[in-house]
Amino acid sequence: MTITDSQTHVLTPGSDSDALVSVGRWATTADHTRVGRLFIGGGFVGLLGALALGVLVSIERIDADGTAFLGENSTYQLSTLMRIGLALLAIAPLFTGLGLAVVPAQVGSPSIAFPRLAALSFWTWLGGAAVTVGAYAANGGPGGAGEPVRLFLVGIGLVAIALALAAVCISATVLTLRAPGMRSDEVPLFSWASFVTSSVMVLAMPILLANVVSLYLSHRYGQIVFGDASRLMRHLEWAVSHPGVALYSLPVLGVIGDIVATSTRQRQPLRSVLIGAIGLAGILYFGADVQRGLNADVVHQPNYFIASLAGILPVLIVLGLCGLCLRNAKPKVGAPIVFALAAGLMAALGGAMAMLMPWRGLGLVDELAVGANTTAGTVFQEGQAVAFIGAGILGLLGALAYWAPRIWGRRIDDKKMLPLALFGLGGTVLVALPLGFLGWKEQPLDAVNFTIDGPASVLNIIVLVGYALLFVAALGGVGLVLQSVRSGEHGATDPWDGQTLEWTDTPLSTVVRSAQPLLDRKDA
Amino acid sequence: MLALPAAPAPVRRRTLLVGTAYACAGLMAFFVGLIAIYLQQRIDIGGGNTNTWLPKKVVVPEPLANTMLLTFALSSLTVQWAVYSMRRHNRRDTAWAMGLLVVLGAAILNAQSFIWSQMKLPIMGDTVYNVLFYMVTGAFFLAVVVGLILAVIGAFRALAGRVGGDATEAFSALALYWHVLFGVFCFVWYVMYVVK
Repeated sequence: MTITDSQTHVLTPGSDSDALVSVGRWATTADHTRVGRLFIGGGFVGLLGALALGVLVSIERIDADGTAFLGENSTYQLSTLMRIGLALLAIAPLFTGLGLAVVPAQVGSPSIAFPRLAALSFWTWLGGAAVTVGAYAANGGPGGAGEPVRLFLVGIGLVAIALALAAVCISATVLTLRAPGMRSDEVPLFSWASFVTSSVMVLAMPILLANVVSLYLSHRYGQIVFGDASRLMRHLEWAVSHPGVALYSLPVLGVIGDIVATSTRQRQPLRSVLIGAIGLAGILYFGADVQRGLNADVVHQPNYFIASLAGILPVLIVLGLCGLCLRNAKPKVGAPIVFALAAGLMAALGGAMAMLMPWRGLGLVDELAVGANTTAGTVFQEGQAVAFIGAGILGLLGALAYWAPRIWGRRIDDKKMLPLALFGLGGTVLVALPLGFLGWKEQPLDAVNFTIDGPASVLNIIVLVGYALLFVAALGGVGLVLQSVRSGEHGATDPWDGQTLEWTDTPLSTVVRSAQPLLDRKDA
Repeated sequence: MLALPAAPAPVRRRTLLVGTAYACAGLMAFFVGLIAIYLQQRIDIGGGNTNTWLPKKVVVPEPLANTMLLTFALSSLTVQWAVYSMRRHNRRDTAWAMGLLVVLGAAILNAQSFIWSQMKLPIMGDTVYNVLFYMVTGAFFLAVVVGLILAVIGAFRALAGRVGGDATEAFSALALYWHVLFGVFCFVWYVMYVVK
C-alpha cells in the first residue's frame, strides 16, 4: 500500500506555530460564530476608544473659555470622531456581530447566508475603521486639511459598505434559512429586530456611501461642490445623530423581548403587536431622509417631526408588553434581565429627549458656527444620541451575558456582571440629561469655546463623570467577557431553560410545529 | 406491498436570489442618494433652471443617451431570454443569450465612454456640474462593469454546460441585477440627459 498522506505536524499547545495556526484560522474563518465574535471584539475596541475620547472631550468642555490641552480644531475633530466612533465603529458592529453569531442559531440554520461575504464584511469594516482613525491621526477628520480628509472619507465609505454587506447576510438568513415549519411571524424577537435593523441598514448605508462619494469627489476636484472639510459633518451628521443613531441600537428591543420572556417563563402576550412595534421602529429610525446637507431646514419638516414624536412609541410598546410578562410571573433575576430592562429605560429616555428636538422655539438642533467649522446643532443632540448608545451598550452586555454559552460555550459571571448595569445606567443618565440641559442653553455641539448662562462647568463635569462611568461599564464588560472566554464556567446546553431554537441541541433536525408564536422546545 | 408515500419536495431556499434582491435595493438606494445630491445642487446653484445650471458650451449628446437606453432595454430582454433558456435546460440558447448580453453590455459601456468623449467636459472645471455629472455617470458605469463581469462568468458557465438547478437561481439573480440596472438607468437617463 502506498501512503500518500503528507507528514502531519504535531503542535505543542502554546507553541508559536500553534498560535500562528490559530491566528490563521481566525483570519480565514467563514464560521458565522467566529465572524460574529470578531465583530464583537472589534466593536468593543471601538467602544472603549470612543468612550475614552468622550472623557477627553468632556475635560476640554469644562472650561468654556478655552482648551485644557488640545487645540480648538483638534477638540472639534476628536468630538466628531467620538460620535462617529460610538455609532459606526462601536454599537453598529457590536450588534452586527451579535446578529451574525446568534441569528442563524435562533432560526435553526447551521450557518449564516453567504458566510464568506460575512467574513469579508468584517475585514472591510476593520480596514475602514483603521483608515478612519488613521486619517484623524493625520489631521484628516472633519475640519482637517489636505489628503488625509480623503482618507477619512474612504474609511467611512468602507465602513458603510461593510455594514451593508453584513446586513445582507443577516436579512437573507432570516428570510430564507429558517427551520422547516417556522413561519416568519414565529421568528424569535432578537432575530426579528436584527432583520428589521439589517433591512433598513441595507438602504441607509448606501445613502451614506453616496454622501461620502460626493464629498470625496468634491474634495478631490477643487472643493467647489461642498467646500472644504469644515462642513463635512453637515453631510454626515444624519448617520450619527437623531433619528438615524437609534437604528444601531434597535436590536435592543429584540434582546429585551427574548430575555424577559425567558426569565419569566411566559409566552409573550400580544406578540404580533411587539413585532409590529419593532418594524415601526425600523421605519422611524431610518434617518437618511433627514439630511441637513441636502436640506438645511429639514429639521422643521413633517418627516423629522414624525420621527421625533413617534420614535418613543416602539420602545414604550416593547416595555409595556414586557411589563405584562413581568406582572404575570416573577422573573428569574440575573444579569441579562437587569441589563435588558436598563437598556429599555435608556432607549425610552432617548425617545423622550427626541420629542423635544423638532420644536423651533427650543433651538436644540439649530446650526451653529464653531470657530471655522459648522455644527449641526447643540449638545442636546449628543445627549440624546448617547441615551440610545447607552441603551445599546447595556442591551449588548445583557445579550452577551445571556447568549455567551451559545456564542463561545462558557458563561459570564453573573454576580460580577450585575454592578456594571448600575455603571452603565448611571453613566448614560449623567451624560444625557446634563447635555440635554446644556443644549437647551445653546452649548454648541463639538465645541470648546462657548458662552452660556448657568452652571455650565458643573454640568460639564457631571458629563465627564458620566462618560467615565460608561467607560468603566464597557471596560468591565470587556474584562468579564475575556475572563469568560478564557476560564469561564462551561455553559450548560440550556442554562436559562430558554424558549427559542438556539438552545436546542440539534436545531437542524427540529421541525417546528408550534402554532404559538414563541417557540418552545416542548412544542417542537 | 404498498410503497411509502413520496417525501415532500425540499423547500426552495432562493437564498442567492433574496441576497441579490437586497444588494439591488442597496444599489438603488445608492443611486437615489447620488441623484438627490445632484438635484439639490441643481436647485441650490442653478435655481432649478437648466440654462443656468449647465456650463456654457456644454452640449449633452441626447441621441447617444437614447441609444444607450434602447440598448439597455434590449439587454434586459436578452438576460431574461437566458433565464428562460436555462429553465428549459437549453444550453445552446443560454450560451447565445449570455454571449449577446456581454456584447450589449460592452456596447453600453462604449456608449457611455463616447458620451464622455463627445462632451469634452473636464472633471475639474469651473462649475459644480462637472464633478456631479461624472459622479453619477461614473458610478453607473462601475455598476454596469460589475454586471458585465457577472455576465461573462455566467456565459462561461453556460458554455461549460452548467445549466439547471443552482445555476438557474444564479442566472435569475443576474437577471434581477440587470433589470434593476436598467431601472436605475431609466432614472439616470431622465435626470442627467432629459432634465439635465
